[in-house]
Amino acid sequence: MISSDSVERLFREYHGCLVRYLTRRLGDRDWAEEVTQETFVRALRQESIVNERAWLFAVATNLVRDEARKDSRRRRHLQLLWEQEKDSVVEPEPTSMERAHEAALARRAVEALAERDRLALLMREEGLDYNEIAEALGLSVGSVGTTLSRARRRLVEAYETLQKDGEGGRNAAS
Amino acid sequence: MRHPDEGQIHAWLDGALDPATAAELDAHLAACPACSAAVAEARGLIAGASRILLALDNVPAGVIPTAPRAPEAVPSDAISAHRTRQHADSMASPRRSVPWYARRSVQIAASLLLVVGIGSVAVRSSGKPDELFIQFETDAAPATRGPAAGSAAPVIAAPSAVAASANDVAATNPPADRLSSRVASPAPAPAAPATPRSELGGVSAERSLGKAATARTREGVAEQRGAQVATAEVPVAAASSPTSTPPTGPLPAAAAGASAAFGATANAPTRAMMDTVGNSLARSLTDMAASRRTSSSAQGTIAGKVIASDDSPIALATVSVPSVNVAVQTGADGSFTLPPLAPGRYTLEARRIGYSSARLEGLEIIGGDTAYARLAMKASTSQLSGVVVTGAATGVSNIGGACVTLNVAPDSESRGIPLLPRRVRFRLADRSSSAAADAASPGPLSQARAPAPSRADAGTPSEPAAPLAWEPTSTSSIEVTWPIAGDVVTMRLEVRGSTVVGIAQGQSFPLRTAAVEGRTVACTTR
Repeated sequence: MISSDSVERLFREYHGCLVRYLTRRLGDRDWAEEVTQETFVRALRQESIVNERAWLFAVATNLVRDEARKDSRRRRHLQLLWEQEKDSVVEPEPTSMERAHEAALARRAVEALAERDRLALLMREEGLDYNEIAEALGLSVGSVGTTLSRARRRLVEAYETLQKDGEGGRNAAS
Repeated sequence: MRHPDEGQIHAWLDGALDPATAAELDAHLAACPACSAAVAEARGLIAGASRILLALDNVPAGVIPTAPRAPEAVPSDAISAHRTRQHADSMASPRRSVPWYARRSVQIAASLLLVVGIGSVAVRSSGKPDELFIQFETDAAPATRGPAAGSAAPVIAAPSAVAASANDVAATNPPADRLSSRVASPAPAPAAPATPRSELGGVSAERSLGKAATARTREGVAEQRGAQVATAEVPVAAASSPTSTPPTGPLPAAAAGASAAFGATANAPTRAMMDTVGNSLARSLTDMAASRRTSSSAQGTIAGKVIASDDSPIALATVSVPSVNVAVQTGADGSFTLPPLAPGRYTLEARRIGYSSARLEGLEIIGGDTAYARLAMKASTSQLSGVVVTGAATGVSNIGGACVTLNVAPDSESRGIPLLPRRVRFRLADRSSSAAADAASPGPLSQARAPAPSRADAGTPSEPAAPLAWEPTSTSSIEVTWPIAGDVVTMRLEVRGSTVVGIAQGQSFPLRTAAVEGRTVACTTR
C-alpha cells in the first residue's frame, strides 16, 4: 500500500492542477472536485505508482469517461436546466458580461474538439510532458506533438469562428 | 533535414524533442523561411490556445442542482452511485441550485460548531429568491463531555442544503454539545407572512467512540408554513477513531463548495481512507482541509492588488489560494477580493500569461478581518502571438547588424482574448558593436513603456538598448529609432491584420528569424 506520506505529497502537489484540469474539461467545479476526490481515493488503494502525475491524470480521465458515458443524457438535461436558471444564480466572483461571454465562447470552442485532442491539450496546460501525456492517454510519444498541434489549431480556429459569428450576430441584431 | 511537420514544430516548441533532433531542426529553421513562418504560427497557436483555456476557469460552481433531499443511504461504492441517485432526484424534481457560497457558508457554520461551542454564529446568504438566515446557538461548552449523545433541534427551511448541512453538523460535530438552530426563511410561499420563523424538528446524533460506529442522524419532520415538508433520515457511518479523536469531516475537495448532499457522501471516501491507512493519514488530510474549515471566529477574506514591477496594475491575473482551491481574477485596476475564508494562514499565488507567477506566503486572516496583499509580478518572455516583422531602413548604408528582439506579452486590459498581441516589447540592438551580444540575448525585460504612438530613442550603441513596450491597437503605430554602427535606423511598427509590420521608406530589408531562445525570437536583417 502506498505510504501515507506519499499520498499527502501527491495531494499537495496535484490536487490543484487536477481540479483545474477537470474543471476545464467538465465545465463544473463541483463535479471536478468530486472526481478529484475519487482519484485520490483510488491512489490510496495502489501498491505503488510509478509515474504519479500521468497515473493521476489517467485515472481522473477514465473516471470522467465512465461517468460521461453513463449520464451524458442527464448532464445535457441538467445543463439545460442550468441555463434556464443561471440568470438567478449569483456568480461567485465579480464577472463582467464580457468575461462571461468569453468563457462561454471558450467552452464551446473546447467542446468542438475531439475528446483525445481536448484531453491532451488540457493535460499539457497543466504542465504534463509528452511522455506523461502519452502514458495517460495511451498514445505513442511520437503522436503527442501531432495531437497537440491539431488541438491547438482547431481550438483557436473554432474560437475565432465563434467570435466572428457572434459579432456578425450582434451587428445583424443592431 | 526535411521540412518538419506541424507536430514536430509543436513538440520542439514544447521542448519535447530529443537534443539531436532539436539541433537538426534548429539548423533547418535557420535556413528555411517557410518553416520559420510555420514556427511563428505555431507559437501563435500555442499562446492563443492557452488564453482560450484560461478563460475556461471562469466557471461558476453550482451547476449541479442540489438534491431535494438527502439520499436514503450512503452507497458503499461512493461517488458514482451516489451521483446517479442525486441526479435522478434532481431530474424528478428540478429544484433550485443553491449557490456555492451559500452552501459553503452553511458548511463553515457547521465547522464553527465543530471547534468551539461558544456564542452564536449567523450566516446570511441572499442571492436566491428566498433569503436564508441560519443561526446556530450553542449553550454549553463542548468537549470533556465524553461520548454522550447530543441532541439538537434544527428547523429546516426551504433550501434543502440546510437539511443536508444538518447532516454535516452531525457528522462533523465533536461529541455532543447541545445545539439548537433556527432557520428563518422569508416567504417561500406567497401566502406566508413576510418573515415566518418556524421552529420544529429534531436531530439526535448518537455516537459511540472507541471504534468506528454508526451515527444515525435523524432529522425529524421539518415543517414550515407554506412550504413543503422535508424529511430526511440518513445513516452516516461516523468515522470515529479508537482513541476518541474527533471524527473527520469531508475532505477539502468536498468542502470546496461541493453540494451539501455531496458533503454527506464525502464521508465515504474518508472512511475508505481510514480503513486503508488508518487514522493518522485521514487526520492529516483533514488537517489540510483545516485552513478551510477550522475557525475560531467569523470568516475573513483577502483583498489586494496585483501589480507589475513598474507599479502598473495587472488585469485578468488569476489570484489563487492553492490550499483551499479558491481563485479569482483581478479587475482592470489589478484589484481582487477573495471569497470569505476561515481565519488562518494562507499562501497566495498570482498567475498571468506573460508574467512569471508571484507567491505570497504566510498571509494571515485574523477573525473576520480583511487581509491586504500586494503581489508584484515580473514580465516574462513566454508569449509570442505569431508576430511577423518585416523591416526596411532608410538613409543607412550598413544595417547588416540590426537585430530586433520581440517579446510579446498579452494585453493589460480586460478586453477579449486577443489573438493579436496587445503589447509588443522589444529590444533593439546593434549586433555589430561590442554591446550587441548582451543586448541581443533576451534578458529579463523591464516594463519601460513608450506611449504609443510616439518616438522613442533606444539608447546609444555602447549600452544595451532599453527595452520598450508598445500596446498596438488597430490604428496606432510607433516609430522606433536605434543606433547601428554609427548610423540611426528608424522603423515604424504598425498593425496590419493580425501581424505587426515594420515599415521604413526606401530600400526594404525584411527581417527574418535568426535565433529562437526560449520563446523569444531574434530577428535580423541578414
